[in-house]
Amino acid sequence: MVKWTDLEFTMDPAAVSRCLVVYPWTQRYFSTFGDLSDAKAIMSNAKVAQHGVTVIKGLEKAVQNMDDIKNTYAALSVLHSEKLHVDPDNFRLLGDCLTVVVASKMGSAFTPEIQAAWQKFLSVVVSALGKQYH
Amino acid sequence: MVEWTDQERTLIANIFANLDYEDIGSKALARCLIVYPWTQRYFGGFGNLYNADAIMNNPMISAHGVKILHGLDRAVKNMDDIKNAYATLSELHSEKLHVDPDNFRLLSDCLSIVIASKMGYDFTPDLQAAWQKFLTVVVFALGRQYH
Repeated sequence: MVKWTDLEFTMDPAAVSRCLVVYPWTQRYFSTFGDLSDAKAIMSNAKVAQHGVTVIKGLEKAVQNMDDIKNTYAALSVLHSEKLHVDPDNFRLLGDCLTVVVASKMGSAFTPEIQAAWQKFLSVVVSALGKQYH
Repeated sequence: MVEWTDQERTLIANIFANLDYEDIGSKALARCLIVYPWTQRYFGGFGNLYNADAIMNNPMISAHGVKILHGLDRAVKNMDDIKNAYATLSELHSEKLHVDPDNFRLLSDCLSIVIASKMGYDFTPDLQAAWQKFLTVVVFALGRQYH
C-alpha cells in the first residue's frame, strides 16, 4: 500500500490527443477514429477528444480510491490486456503527456514537490494498470 | 542515422534561440534531484541537499545545471551526427562519473517539464514531439559508449 499526503490535480483530456502526436506509434490503437494525419487533425479530432474524456474519468477513479488503486484498477487492467491489447509501456507515455500538460497549465506553481507527488501517483496508476497482464 | 524534418529542425532551433540557460538549466537539475532523490548520490560534494528548498537554492547545483544545459548545444550544432558528437561525453559519464544512464532520461524529463511550465500553451504537441525526439537521441548517444 502507498502512503499519501494531501494533493490536488487537474487532469486534461487533451493530454490523450497530445500523446498521439508526441508518440505517433500510439495511433495504432485508434485506426477507426478518423483523421489522424497531422497534429492539427489529431488535436481537433472529436473521437479522440471524447476518448480523452473517458480516460480521464478512469483516472478519477484512482483519485477517489487512492488507498487501493491496485484493486480499483483490476478490471480495467484485464480489459486493457485481454480485450484492448494495449502495450503497458503506453500507460507510462500517457502519464508523461499528462505531466507535461499539467506543467504547462500550472507554470511555476507546478513545484518540484508537487511534481514528485504527482509522479508518484501516476507510477502507482501505471503499475496497477499493468498488474493483470500476463 | 536520425532523420529530421525541416519543421523539427526549426522547432528545436527556436527553443534554443529563446532558452534562458541560467533559469532553465538550474531549475531542471534541481528538480531532478528533488523528484528523483536517488540522483543526489552523484552530488555528494555539492553542499546542502537536505530538502527541496536547500536544493533549489544551492548555487553549486544551479551552476552545474547550466553547464549540463550548455552540453546540449553540442547536439544542436551536430544534429546529423549526435552519436559521434557525444562519444567522448558518453565515455566520461561511463568511465569517470559512473552515472547510471537511466538518469539521462530522468533529467531530460525534468527539462521538458521546466520548459513546458515556462512556455505554457506555446509548448504545443508538435513542439513537444520534436523536442522529445531530440532528447531521446541525445539520451541514447550519451549511453552509447557504456559497456
